[in-house]
Amino acid sequence: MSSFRRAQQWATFARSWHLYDMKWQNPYESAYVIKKYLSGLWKPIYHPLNNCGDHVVVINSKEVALPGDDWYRRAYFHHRRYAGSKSWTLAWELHEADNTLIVKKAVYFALEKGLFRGNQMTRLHIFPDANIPPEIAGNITNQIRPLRPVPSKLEEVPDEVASQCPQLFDLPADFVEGSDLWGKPDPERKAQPIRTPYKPKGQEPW
Amino acid sequence: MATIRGCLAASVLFRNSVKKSCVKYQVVRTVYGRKQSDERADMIRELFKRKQEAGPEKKAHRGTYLDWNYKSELFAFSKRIGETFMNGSLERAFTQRSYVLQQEATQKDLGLDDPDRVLEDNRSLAEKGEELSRDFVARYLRTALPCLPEENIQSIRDHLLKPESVANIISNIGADELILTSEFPTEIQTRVSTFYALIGAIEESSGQERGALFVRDFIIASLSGQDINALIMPENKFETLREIFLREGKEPPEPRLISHVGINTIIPSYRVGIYSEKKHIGTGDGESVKDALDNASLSVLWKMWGVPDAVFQFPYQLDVGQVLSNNQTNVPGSEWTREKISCR
Repeated sequence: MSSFRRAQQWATFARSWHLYDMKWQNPYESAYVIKKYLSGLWKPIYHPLNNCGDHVVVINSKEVALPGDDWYRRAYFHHRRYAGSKSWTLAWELHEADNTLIVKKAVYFALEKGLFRGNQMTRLHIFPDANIPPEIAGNITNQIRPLRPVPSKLEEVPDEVASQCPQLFDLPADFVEGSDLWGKPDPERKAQPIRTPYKPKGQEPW
Repeated sequence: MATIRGCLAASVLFRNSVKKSCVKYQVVRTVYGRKQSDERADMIRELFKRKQEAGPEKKAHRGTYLDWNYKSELFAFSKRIGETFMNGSLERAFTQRSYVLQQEATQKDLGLDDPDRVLEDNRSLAEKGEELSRDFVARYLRTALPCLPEENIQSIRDHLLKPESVANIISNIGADELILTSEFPTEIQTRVSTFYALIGAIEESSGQERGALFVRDFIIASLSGQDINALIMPENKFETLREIFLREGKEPPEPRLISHVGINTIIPSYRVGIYSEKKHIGTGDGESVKDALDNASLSVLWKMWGVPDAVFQFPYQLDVGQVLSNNQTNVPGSEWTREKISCR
């Protein structure tokens, strides 16, 4: 094989680096977008047994947006393999403990099961904010388009711009009940039943 | 009687109580035929041991076997390659000098000193055949690759006529055992000179064109499956390209880094493009910028020399008469410009 052909092979199997901005994105839908790049599905040389996946750098995992009331309803099961060590952690608790874990678990479950899954997960680099180490930032050559455009919050719009917007209706402050609680966990919200087949010990209602 | 009946009842009870999966099977070993004696086994064991001690069997020439008929083998060989030989020139082509000397010594020992019984060796035929091969291969390459510099034509010819590859050809056409020589197994140089002598014999019997056809079908065809582009590698790739552009009176080629990926990892990849007069003329990849530049220069050079990578297919079926009448020499690398070549 000539050096030219060798270099062609080298370039064919070179691993690209992609950037994905997770701000205000659904992690469970984004995971399937990231999976395509992590496992190399977009490449013409793809084969399930071909180790041709790329690197994906996920930023702003702190500002991930879960659909509906999933922050309170979604439970992450863990068992430490000791008797009575089952645990169900709610999504908001998990996110408070480590703000990269929601994305990591979403991608892990999206990837195909098999011997390559661990290798592919090592090529996923998650950062809670936009600060990336320079040695990783230097590698990135592509950005994956996020699934949804990021909306701007009314609080973030400067007052000069907001005041220029014509106010068509003069609504009372309590026009929508509980609107002051939007985007915040409800302190008076009752504990919801967890949607898993088992319940923690000692809390049976019967 | 009572005891027997009691035993039967107990066995039925027992059988019913035991589950099917627990049934034990007795393995009965059956020996068919006559029983073999121990002496026979001992003998086989002893023979095996002695065979191991003696080591692998020594290779013998096919000619030492009883059913060897050299004349009919020669006849079959000439039919296989589809050639007719005049005046025993085929036998002469296979006769090495060492064999002639050996035969003379044997005859002297036996007291047979007959001046008429002189064996002719293949040296003159080999000289003739080698000259034809070297000349024809160069002509063929020049006809097939008219834009390639003369130095590269020479290097491809040297690659084709390497002793190892030529010796390989003669083994592959089943002529190795027909060589009359004193040594066994035959050495590379012996096989090479016999192959050239064979070409010389064909030329002597059927003419130059027929000999050239043999060279085309066996030497040129051995290029098949090999990467020709790997044989066309100038020492300083970019410098060669630059010199060609300067000789043509054009702007020197300008390399630019088109893209790179994973530069902070252990598997970086760079892609370099070469531009001339604001036009993209070639691209190359590599582990480093220098490698990528070399490969980009190679891709441009190969395109100019009429051997573009992964596109070029070598013609193996050129007409022999046309090749033999081609007296043109390719342009040497030091004077190579695009105006000087007739093609493209």
